[in-house]
Amino acid sequence: MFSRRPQSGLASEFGTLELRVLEVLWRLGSDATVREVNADFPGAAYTTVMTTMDRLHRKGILDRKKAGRAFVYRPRFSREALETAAAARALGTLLQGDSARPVLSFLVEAVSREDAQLLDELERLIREKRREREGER
Amino acid sequence: MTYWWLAALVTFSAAALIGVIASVTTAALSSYVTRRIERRVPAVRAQALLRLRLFPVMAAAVGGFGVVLPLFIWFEPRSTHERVAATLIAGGAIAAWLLAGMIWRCARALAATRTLSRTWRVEGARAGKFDTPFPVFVIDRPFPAVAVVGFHRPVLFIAAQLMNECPEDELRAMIAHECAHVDAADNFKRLLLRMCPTMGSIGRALEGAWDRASEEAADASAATRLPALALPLAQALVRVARLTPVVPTVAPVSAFHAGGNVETRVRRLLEPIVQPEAETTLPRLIFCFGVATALVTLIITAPALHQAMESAVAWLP
Repeated sequence: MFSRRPQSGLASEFGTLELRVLEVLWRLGSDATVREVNADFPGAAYTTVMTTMDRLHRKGILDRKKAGRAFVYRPRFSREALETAAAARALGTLLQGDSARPVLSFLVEAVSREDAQLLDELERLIREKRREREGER
Repeated sequence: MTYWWLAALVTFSAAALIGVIASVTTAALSSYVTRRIERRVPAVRAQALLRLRLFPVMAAAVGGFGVVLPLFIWFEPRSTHERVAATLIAGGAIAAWLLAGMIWRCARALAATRTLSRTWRVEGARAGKFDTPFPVFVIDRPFPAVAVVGFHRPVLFIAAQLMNECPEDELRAMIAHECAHVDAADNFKRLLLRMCPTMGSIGRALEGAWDRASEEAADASAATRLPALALPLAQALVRVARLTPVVPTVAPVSAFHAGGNVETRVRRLLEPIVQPEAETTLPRLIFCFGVATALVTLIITAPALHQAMESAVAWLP
C-alpha cells in the first residue's frame, strides 16, 4: 500500500541527532550524563553529542543540573507532549494568517479539548447505526 | 486630466460607492438570509452564502465596469476639461487601493498554495491505489491531514498515520468527500472569498458559515453518490477529529474549532440520505430574463443615467 517508513512527526522539528538523543533519554527514563548518552552512539564523537545536548537544553527541551564535574540531563517533555505540540504548531501555521494561507480543503480542521466526550458519544451513535443496519439485512 | 484618467477615476469611484452600499445591504441582510436558508440542503446553503459574501464585489464590478464605464465612453466627449472633485479622486483612490488589495491577497494565497503543494509533493509518496481524477500523495506530517490543495490542478494529500490507521472503506469515504470538493470547485470559491475586501465580523461569519456548509455539502455529495460510504465517512470524521491536535487560536476557521461542525456532520451522515433538490430551469430563466431586462432598461435610460451621473459629479465637493 504505502512503502515509505512512517517517521515521527518530530522529524520536522528536530535534527536527526537531536531526535536520537531524545530517544535515548526517553528510553533511559532517568537523568543521564553526556557520557551515558554517548554510549548509544558508537560512531559519534563525545563532543558532538555534548553539543547536541547543549543545543537541546538551550532550546528548552532538556533540563540540566550540575552533578559533580558533569551535567546531568533530563527531557522536560514526554514524547507524546512534544508530538502533540509539533502537530499543533504545524496545523496552526496552516490555519492562521489571512491571505497567505494556501487554498485547501481540510476534512477536519481543528477541534477543542472539550470535544473528547462528544466524540465518544458520536462514535457510540455510529456503532448503534451500524448494528441497526446490519440487523435490517 | 486626460480622458482615460477621468474614465478610470469615475469608474473606480462609482465602484467604491456601489461597493459600500452593497456591503451595507449585505450586512443588513446577512442574518435574515442565514436564518432563511438554515433548513435548506447544505449545497444550496453554501451557494447562497457564497453569493451573499461576493455580492458587494460583484455589484461594484458590474456597476463600475458594466454600467458607469460604458456610459462614460458612450456620452463623454473625448476633449473633456471637466473639473475633478477631490471626493472623486478620494473615491477612485480607495477603490484602486481595494482592488490592489484583492490582487495582492490572490497572489499571496496562490503562492502559498503552490509552495505547500510543491513541498508536500516532494516529501510525500504517490499513492497509486486510488481511482481519482487527481493525484493522491501520502505525506508524513504530524497532524492527520486529508486535504485537497489547489484548484487548477488539485492534489490530494493524506497523512501517513491515517493511511496506516484507517480501514479501506473509511479511506474511500474520505476520498469521495474530497472528490466532491473538487467537483464543486470549492478551493476556487475559497480563493474568491479570500480575495474579497474584509467586511469585519460579518464577512468572517459568512465565510465561516460557507466553510461549514461546503463541508456538509461535500459529505452529502459523497453519501449520495455512494450510500454505503455514509457511515464510514462519519467514522472517519470522528477518527480524524480525535487525531487532530488542539490548536489554541484558530480564528480564521470560526466556529469549526468548537467541534459543532463535526457533530453536525456526523449526525447528518447518520440520518437517511436526502436526495439533492432537483435543479429546475426556472431560476436560470428568471435570471437570464432579469439580465436582459436590465440591459434593455440601461440602453433606454442611458442618456438620463448619464445626465444623473453628470449632476452627481458636478455636485461633489
